[in-house]
Parts: sequence; C-alpha cells; structure tokens
Amino acid sequence: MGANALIEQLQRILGPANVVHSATDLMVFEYDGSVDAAIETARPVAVVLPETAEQVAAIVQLASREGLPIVPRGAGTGLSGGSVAQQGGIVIATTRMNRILEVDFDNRIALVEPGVINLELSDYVVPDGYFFAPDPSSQRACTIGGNIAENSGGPHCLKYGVTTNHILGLEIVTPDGKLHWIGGRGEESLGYDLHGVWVGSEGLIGIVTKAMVRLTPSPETVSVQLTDFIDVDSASNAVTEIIAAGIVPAALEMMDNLTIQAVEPAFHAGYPMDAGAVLLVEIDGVREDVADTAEEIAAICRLAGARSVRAATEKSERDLLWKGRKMAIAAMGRLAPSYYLHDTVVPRTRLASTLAQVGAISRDFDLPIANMFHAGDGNLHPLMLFDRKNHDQVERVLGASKELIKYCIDIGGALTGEHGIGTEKRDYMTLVYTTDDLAAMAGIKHAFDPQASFNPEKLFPRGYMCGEVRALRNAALAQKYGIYPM
Amino acid sequence: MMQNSNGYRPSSRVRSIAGVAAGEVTEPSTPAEVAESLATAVAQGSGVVPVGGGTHLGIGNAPARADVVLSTRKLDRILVYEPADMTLSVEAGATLQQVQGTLAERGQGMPIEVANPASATIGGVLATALYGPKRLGWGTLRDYLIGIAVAYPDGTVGKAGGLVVKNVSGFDLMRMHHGALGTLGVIVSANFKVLPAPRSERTVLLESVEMSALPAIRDACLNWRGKVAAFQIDKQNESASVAIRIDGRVRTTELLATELAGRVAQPSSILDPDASRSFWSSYVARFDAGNDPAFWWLRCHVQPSQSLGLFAQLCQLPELASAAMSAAPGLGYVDIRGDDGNADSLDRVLRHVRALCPRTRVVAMPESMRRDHDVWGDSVDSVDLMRQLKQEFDPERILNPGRFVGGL
Ligand SMILES: Cc1cc2nc3c(=O)[nH]c(=O)nc-3n(C[C@H](O)[C@H](O)[C@H](O)COP(=O)(O)OP(=O)(O)OC[C@H]3O[C@@H](n4cnc5c(N)ncnc54)[C@H](O)[C@@H]3O)c2cc1C
Repeated sequence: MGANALIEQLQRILGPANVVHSATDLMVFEYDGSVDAAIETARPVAVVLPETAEQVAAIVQLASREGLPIVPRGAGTGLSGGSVAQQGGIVIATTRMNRILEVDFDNRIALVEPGVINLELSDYVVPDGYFFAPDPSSQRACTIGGNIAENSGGPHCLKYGVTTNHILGLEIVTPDGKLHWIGGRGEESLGYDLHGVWVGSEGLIGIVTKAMVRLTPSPETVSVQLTDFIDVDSASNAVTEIIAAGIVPAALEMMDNLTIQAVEPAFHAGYPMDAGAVLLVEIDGVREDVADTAEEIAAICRLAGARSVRAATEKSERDLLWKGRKMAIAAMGRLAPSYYLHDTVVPRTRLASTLAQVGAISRDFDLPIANMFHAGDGNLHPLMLFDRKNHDQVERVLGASKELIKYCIDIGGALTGEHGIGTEKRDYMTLVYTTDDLAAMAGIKHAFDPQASFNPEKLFPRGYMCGEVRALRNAALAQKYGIYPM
Repeated sequence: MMQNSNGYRPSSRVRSIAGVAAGEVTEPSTPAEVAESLATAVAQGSGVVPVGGGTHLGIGNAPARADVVLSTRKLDRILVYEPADMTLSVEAGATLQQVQGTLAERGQGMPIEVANPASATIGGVLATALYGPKRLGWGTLRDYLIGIAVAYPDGTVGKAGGLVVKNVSGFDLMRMHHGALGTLGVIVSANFKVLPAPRSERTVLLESVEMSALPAIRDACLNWRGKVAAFQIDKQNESASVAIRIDGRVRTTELLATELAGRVAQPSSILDPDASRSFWSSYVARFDAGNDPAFWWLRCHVQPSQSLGLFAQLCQLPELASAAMSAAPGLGYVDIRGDDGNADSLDRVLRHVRALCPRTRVVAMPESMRRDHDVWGDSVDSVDLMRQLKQEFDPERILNPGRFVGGL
C-alpha cells in the first residue's frame, strides 16, 4: 500500500477531518516540548485524531497489517522526544478523545478519555471538594494519557505520589489492535499488575484509550511559606532538616537566584531579588495540623539561616507565590532565546553538593544554568540557557549535559525523575543498567509488542533491540513509502 | 507458622506446598546463585517453588510441580539504609520484623502490616501483595517500592528502578513483580522509600453497634476533614464493632480522635498510643494461619461504596454464622475467615459468597479442598495479556507452575 492508499484507508475509518497528512499541517507534529533542546525531529506519514477506542483499534490493526510504526501522542508537551515519530508511520493523537466519562465521588474515582487535559479534570471536580493529584507544571496543556505514559510528577507528588499511585485501571489497545481492560474499576483487580506496568511505558507497548483515575479529597486548609536564604547551600540544608524532622510537606520547591531574576520582574510574586535561593513550602491538612507544622518548619528554616519567612493562607496570596514557580520556565524566555530543561534525581542529602557541581559546570562551560525544582524529592531541573542558532553554544550545552548526567549517576542518582527517557536519554541507559537489566525491560516490550511497531527508537539504547529485525523492517518501509529512516 | 526462639524458620523443611509434595530444598546465598538454580531447573525441567518465611505456603492454587523449594532464607541482609535520605535496600529473605526494627532505631518505618512479621519476608510480602487495614491511610508496599532485583529463569539477574524516591528511567518492572507470586522471576532484593514513624496515634473503638447504624458511621469517618489511617468493621454476634485509627502529630491525633468520637454519635472509647498500636498488631495477627490446618480466609473485593452492603448480606448467610467477618469500607473489601474448614461446608460457603461477590479470592484453605477450587475465581480481566508476560519471562513454566491466576 502506498502513502495515498494508506491515507484513504485512514479516512475511511475516521472521516477526512480526522486525518492530517499535508506537509504543512504535519509540521507541528514533528517535535514535542523538547524542541529547543535540539532533540531530533521527524515527520509521520499521517496524524490521526480518533474519537473512540474502536477507531484507535481499527487504526492499530491497519498499521499492524501494513507493518507501519505507530506513535501515540497527547498534547506533545513531553520533554524527552517521546511523541516524535522517529521512523515515520502513523501518529495517533488523542486530542479529540477528551471526555470525562464518569465521576463517582462515593468511590473517589473518575473514568476519563486519554486526551482530557490534566487541569481540566481537577477543575471539574474541585467544586465537589476533590482534585486529581498529579500536577506537572505543564498541567494546563498536557493530557492524562501523556501523564500515564510518562508516569508524570509535579510539585505535590512529594506528599501525594506520582501518576502511577493514582491510576486504578486502564483500557488499552495493544499493538495487535485488540482492546483490553487492565486493572480495576474501583475495586481491587487480581493477577499481574498490568496497569502498573503500563504506567510509565512511554507509549512503547500500546495506547491508552480510557483511564480509571483516583480522585483525592481536598484538604481543609492549605498554607504556603516563602522562605529566603543567602545561598543554595543553606536552603538545601533546610530541605534535609525538614525531611529529617519527619515532616512530609505537600510540596517543597526551590528556586535559585537566576530563576528569581527571571521570574520576579515578570510576575511580581514577591521573591526577594537578592536571595541566593528561596524555598516554597506548602503544607496541607486539618487546620490545627497545618498551624503546628508551619511553625515547626519556620523554626527549622530560621535555624538553617533563613532571612525571612512569609506565610500565605488566603488563596489569592498562595496563588501569587505559586505563580512564580509554575511560570518559571515560561519566564526564562526573558533571559535567553532557548533553554534545555534537565530532569535528574539525586539522594536528598546530596542536593547541596549537586547544586555546587551544577555551578561548576555552568562556569566550566560558560553557560548560565538556572535551578527551579522539586527539592523535597531530590528531583533537580537544571535549566541551561543558550541560543539554538549559535552552534558553539549548542555544543557546550551537549557537553555540559553529559557532565551533569554522569555526575548525578555517579552519586547514586537517576537518569530522569519525571520526564522520561524517550530519545533524549536512551543512550544514557547503559550508564545505569547492565545488559541483563535491559534484557528484562526488553522482555516487557517483546511480550506485548513482538513486532516492535509501537514508538520505535525510544527508551532502549541505540542498536540495542534486535537490530537485524529492524533493518529488514526499515527496508520494507522504504519500499512501501519511499521513507528512508535513519 | 511461627519462628521459634533459636531463629529456626520453617522454610528449610517444607514438606508440601498446598497439598503437593515438595522436593529438595535449595538455599542460595547470593542473587547469582538464585539465578543459577533457576537455569538448572529449566535444564532439568523441574518446577520451582520460591519460599520466604513460609507464612503463606498455601496461597494460590496447588502447583503442578514442586520439585525444588527455593528458600530465600540466606538472602537476609539489609544492603543499604540511608536514614537521612529515607531509603532502604534489603534482600528478599529479610523479615519484616528485622526491617522494621532497623528502621525504628532511627524513628522511621514502613506503614506495612502483616500477620506474622517475625517470619514474613520482604520478598514474600511483595510477591503476595497482601495488605492490612492501614492501606487506607498509607497504601501498600507497592507505593514504597523504588527499585528491585530479580533472578530470572534464563539465569540472569535484572535490576530496575534505583535508590532515589522518584524515578522513571525505563519500564516499571517493580510493579510487574509485585503480587506476581514469584511466577515471573524470584525477587532477590528490593529498594524502598521509608517514612518517619507517626509521632502519635489514637484508636476510636465502638462496640455492639447496630448494623443499621453502620452507613452513618462510615460517612462520619470518611467524609470528614480528618484523615483516617484505618477503618475496620467486624461482625460481633448480631451486631458489629468498629475501630478507627488516626495517626500523625501528637496534638492533632488527640484532638481528632475526640472530634471523631463525637461525630459517630455512639458510645465509644479512645485508645491511647500504646494501646492503639497493640490493638492493631493483634487485629492483624488474627489472619495468621499458624499451624492450624483448618484455617481458611476469603477476601471479597468490591467498590468501597458497596462493601457495607456486601458485609450486611454476608452477615445474613447461615453458612457463615460462625465465621469471623471484617469489612474495610474505605478500601472495598470484606475478609471472611474461620478455623472449621471441612471440605463440605467450605464448598457451600464459597459458592454462596461468590454468588454475591464474584471477585472473591481464597487466601487460605485446607488442603483437602484444593483440588476442587480455583482460589482466584474466574473474574480476572485480560488473562491473555498475563499469559503473554508469563510466556516471555518463564517460557518453560518452571516458576510456581499453575499457582497463579488462569493456571499461570
Ligand atoms: C513547560 C513544561 C513543564 C513541564 N513540567 C512537568 C512536570 O512538572 N512534571 C512532569 O512530569 N512533566 C513535566 N513536563 C513534561 C510533560 O508535560 C509531561 O511528560 C506530560 O505528561 C506529557 O503529556 P502530553 O499529553 O503532552 O504527552 P506527549 O508529549 O504528547 O507524549 C508523551 C509520551 O506519552 C505517550 N503517550 C501520549 N498519550 C498516550 C496514550 N494515550 N497512550 C499511550 N502513550 C501515550 C507518547 O507516545 C509519548 O511517548 C513539562 C513540560 C513542559 C513543556
């Protein structure tokens, strides 16, 4: 089947309005949120916008018959290249599967389609006193399906857990085009924890078409503290002390001076411009508990050298304090034309030394690096500022990135805490995992996607997965579509 | 089964697994040795039954073969404990008591309950995925698992995850092994995030509560500003007893317990922290089979909102008149247990219970009943996908063959 025949077939399944195939229309699907970071871009043959799970199944069956790669896509805000069609083929975008199908407050669950925007779900249930806990900073744009595929986190995951802790069951289409329900529908499921395996699988073993998610009751009281320090060292120590005191705040975020310089003039959140670092600590729960905990945290911070502690309990005030943090990445545009947002995790006690190392890398590579991150989890987001058009700067970004990742791994850290491996970090996987470790992971891929048609060239290191099979498949693809994948 | 005073654990002299005669016992002392014995079993076509503390040898269906009993007894080291990072790496054969003891020295713990912590091992708790009432407030071991190492039948040891509290580097293999009953590989070690132990706790106890009052009590406990760590309802003759656990800061637990006692509008008593702790450890210990060959235990899963209704219906069944029954209305399960397991009556019990709740799992039952019943029932979704996983990781079907759902 040639490209035209394929498009015709897709249109037959979906209607012409739901198949995107002209070169100009396809352009926006060639990259994801990681575009600035110089991650490869690639063009699919077509992007389809199904409205039902049955349509998804029909497309996957067609692709499977034709031996075409499939790439699931949500909003495309991913930061590791996950939804880029590395080998062309068909992108299934879930943006038109965006209905909240059921909300059941008695059982604290909701059944949603994968294209529902993260924040829209919370907004929908907030009036009834509930929220959807995973809250990535991209929550105004990203989809629940994307959150599931990346096992996304966010500031409040410190207390409430990441996406996997909030998924009870999934409807999926497997790479052979069959629809399945895995996990529970509010009651416990028996057998293997398949939905647990599916969460975080980066679109490599199928596509999620419905999700049963947990709704969390809103706390009675919320308080946010802004604490400022002369340097990141004392702020890091305060983080360690808070955790060591046995306190689990709802969120515990840090921003360094460079971040404050970008954010404060833009949003006037009230961050002291001369602070070396600020901590944003949110505490929630019953009012007496929040009051006592806030006092204890303030005392710990003062002991650790805090210059001032400002508390906000009114919603408008809290929102203002948070605005600076939530919009920090957007504000970076004030400092440089491009940025590369990193995502690594280190043991919490190594925060101070890691930030010192980030500073050293910044000096060595002559590259400004801002830090705004989930300090309570040890989840760092060093943000490198550069100009994508400047080749020398791009080279320095790549060099600095390598150095940073190696350092974090050397001290017992992880490659990624929430953004995923995708194409971005696939070749770093061998830094952390042995061939035997990777073989076990490949077992999951092989069990569910033996033809390796879902989201090729992601997560596994280059040349790792059955090279020969791939070469054969690529030749067949080239013959069919005139596509020559790398 | 009990651990006796000189530390002897029954795993080294297992005679039968769910009624099937057990063969030789092997006690590897390194992960590589575990993998090697699996590869050997593949070569010889033997069935392998991994065993931890032996507290749930009867779990699952009877294995088709039990030629080799693979004990994790010698894999009992705590590999890494970083109190300041609140992370722990421990070998699969370490007992829960050993782990909790180490953590308690630094005021930390894992909010996990098992009936017999002196014998139950980390590997066993992970593999069986059983949990107690505290799941309501604190989740299960699944929620604390951040890394794992597993020996596979191909003779390799594969790791996943790591030793940091947040990590999405690669597939989440940890979840695959949680609750898999060792049918996809033998867990050799696992990493966890640990928590500070709650500073205080209280339990509100209600006795002889009319069945008709239970829905209001449930609403008072669950739709409230306070967070409840555990909430159990137990059948007590014609009526019920209710226990509600609250933990957290010293001042708030005290205050919330009093507030809740007022909300439930029933005569109640409040247990102080020590009494509360021992109340719940003996509550959970009732689910220990011990050496009682007649012990049986069913766990019925429904949506939380249906659990009180199911509990009331089960309380009416004449077949269950002498059984102990507990509901967890915040979680959606009802446990039924007894020690009068004779084949005849249990058979009727199971038929009646499954008619009311198809998703009923037999956690323990007398060996005489084995051959007639699938302990998992037939309401498991997507067994074909589970089969694909099994085929990939244990194609020769040497690991606990036939014990898991769908004959896996
Ligand atoms: C400014 C900014 C801030 C961010 N902040 C955070 C943060 O705080 N925390 C965090 O964790 N992430 C963050 N991200 C990253 C990103 O938003 C998340 O990974 C998000 O979950 C991706 O959702 P998406 O809908 O955009 O998915 P996409 O980018 O479209 O896809 C991501 C991956 O999911 C797969 N996928 C999508 N839908 C499905 C489906 N239905 N079934 C199977 N696979 C599917 C794709 O194949 C791809 O591999 C941020 C991104 C940006 C741009």
